[in-house]
Amino acid sequence: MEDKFQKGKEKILSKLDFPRDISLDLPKIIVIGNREIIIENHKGIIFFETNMVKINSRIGPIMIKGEKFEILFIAETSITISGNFQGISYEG
Amino acid sequence: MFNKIKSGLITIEVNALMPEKILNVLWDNEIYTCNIVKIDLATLRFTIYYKDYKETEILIKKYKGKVRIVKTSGIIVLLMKMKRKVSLVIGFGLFFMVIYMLSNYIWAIDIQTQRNLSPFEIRQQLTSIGIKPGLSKAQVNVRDLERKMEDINDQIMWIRIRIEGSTLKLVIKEKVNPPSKEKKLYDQVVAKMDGEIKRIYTNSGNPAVVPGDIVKKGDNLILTTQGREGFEKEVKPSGTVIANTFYEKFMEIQVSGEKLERTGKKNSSIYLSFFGKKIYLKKAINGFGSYDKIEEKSGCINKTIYFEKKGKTVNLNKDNTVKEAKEKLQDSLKKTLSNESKIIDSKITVEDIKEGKILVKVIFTVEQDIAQNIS
Repeated sequence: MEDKFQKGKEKILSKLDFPRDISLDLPKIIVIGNREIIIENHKGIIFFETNMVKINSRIGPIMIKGEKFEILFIAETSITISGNFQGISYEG
Repeated sequence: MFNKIKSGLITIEVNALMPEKILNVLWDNEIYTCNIVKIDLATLRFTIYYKDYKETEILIKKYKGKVRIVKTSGIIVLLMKMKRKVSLVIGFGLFFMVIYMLSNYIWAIDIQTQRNLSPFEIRQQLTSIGIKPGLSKAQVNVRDLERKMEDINDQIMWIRIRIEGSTLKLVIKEKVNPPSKEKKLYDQVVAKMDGEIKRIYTNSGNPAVVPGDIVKKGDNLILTTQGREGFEKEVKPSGTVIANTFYEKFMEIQVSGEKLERTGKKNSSIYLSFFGKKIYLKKAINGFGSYDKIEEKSGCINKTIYFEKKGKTVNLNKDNTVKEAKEKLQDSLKKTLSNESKIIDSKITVEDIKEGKILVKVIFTVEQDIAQNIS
C-alpha cells in the first residue's frame, strides 16, 4: 500500500519537474575529490569508525570506505565527513 | 556554522557502548555536533555549543555514557569560568582600576637645569604656583606652566615641561644675566672733617655751601632738593666737595748737648721664678754706669738683659734738621691720606725747649674730598 502511494507520488512530482532529492527525500551525495563528502537527506549514523562510515538513508545504508574519517558537522538534514575516501557504496 | 566569538564551544569525549547511537540521539534532539573523531571503539570526541552542554550531558547519561570535557573555548565559557572565581576577577578589576587612578596623578617632578639654577629653587617656585607631587594631571596645563615659569624666573631662557607617565619633567636652559649694579643712594652728604670749601661738584642735589665757606665736621654739604627755586624736587644727594683741610704734626729733636746711646755691650742673668721667689742660674755683675734693663719672661725660666749706654755729644745744623724733620712728617702724613689728596702748603714753627732740644711743628694744608655719604 505504502509502495504504491510512493510510486504515485514520484510520478506526479516527476511530471511537475520537481528536484528529486527534495521531493522524494532521497540522499544527495556531494563528493569533493577524495577529501570531503556531504550527504543531504540522511537518516542518521549507523556505524562510525576511522576507516568506515555507514549512514542511513531512505534507500538504505550508504557505506563509505577510506581512512582518517572525521565527521565535520551534523546538521538537521546534512552530514559532512572528511578523510581519505576509497569508495562509496549502497547497501540495499 | 559555529561561531566561536558569539558563543562558547566545548569539546567533549564520550565513552559509550554504542557511540553512534549517541550521535543519532543528539542529532534527533537537534544538538549540533562537529569535528567528530573516533578515538577508539567506545570513545568519541566531538564539539558542541556550550548552551547545549547540559542537555547533552543528560542525554548521554540516559544512554549510560560517560562525559569528559577536553577543551573549552569562547567568551561565554570564559565568563562562566570567571563566575566561579568572582573574587579573583574583582581583585584584578580593582587592581587595574587603582593603577589607572594612580596614574592620573603626578607623583614626581624631575628637573633638569644647567649650571647656575638649582633644582631646589625651581621646585620652590613650582610649589609657589601650586605645582607639587600628588596633583592631578588634568589640573596641569604644561603650556601655561611654561609661560608662568618664564615670568617667575628671569634666569630661564627656554623651558620645556612635559608629563611623562606620572612624572612632570622640566628641561631648562639658562641665561646668564649681567650682574645687576644697584647704585646705593644715600640720604645725606655731610663733611667728614673741618675745612675750607674750594670747589663743589654735585651729581644730584643743590649745594648747601659755597667756595670759601668754613665747614665743621658733620655739616651738611649738599641739599636733598634739586632745581630752581619754586621748582625743586626731592632727590638723593650725591657729589664731590673739595676743601682745604689742615693737619698739624710735630717732632722733638735734640740738636746740641749729650745724648745717651747704646754701646752694644750687654750682660744677662737667668733665673727660675717660683711663687715670687727667684733662684738664679746665672747672675750678671752689673758694672755699667747707665744702662737699659730689659726683662724677658717665658714661663719658669726668666731672663734679665742689661744694655750699656753712654753719653754722646750732639751738634747739628738747626735749619737742616728742621727741613729733614718736615720731610719726615710730610712722609708720615702722606701715608695716612688718600691718593686723591694733595698737600698744597705747609707752615713750620720751631720752639726751643731745654737742653738743646727743639720742637718742630708743621701745619699742612691738604686739598681733598670731604663729602661723606650717610643714610
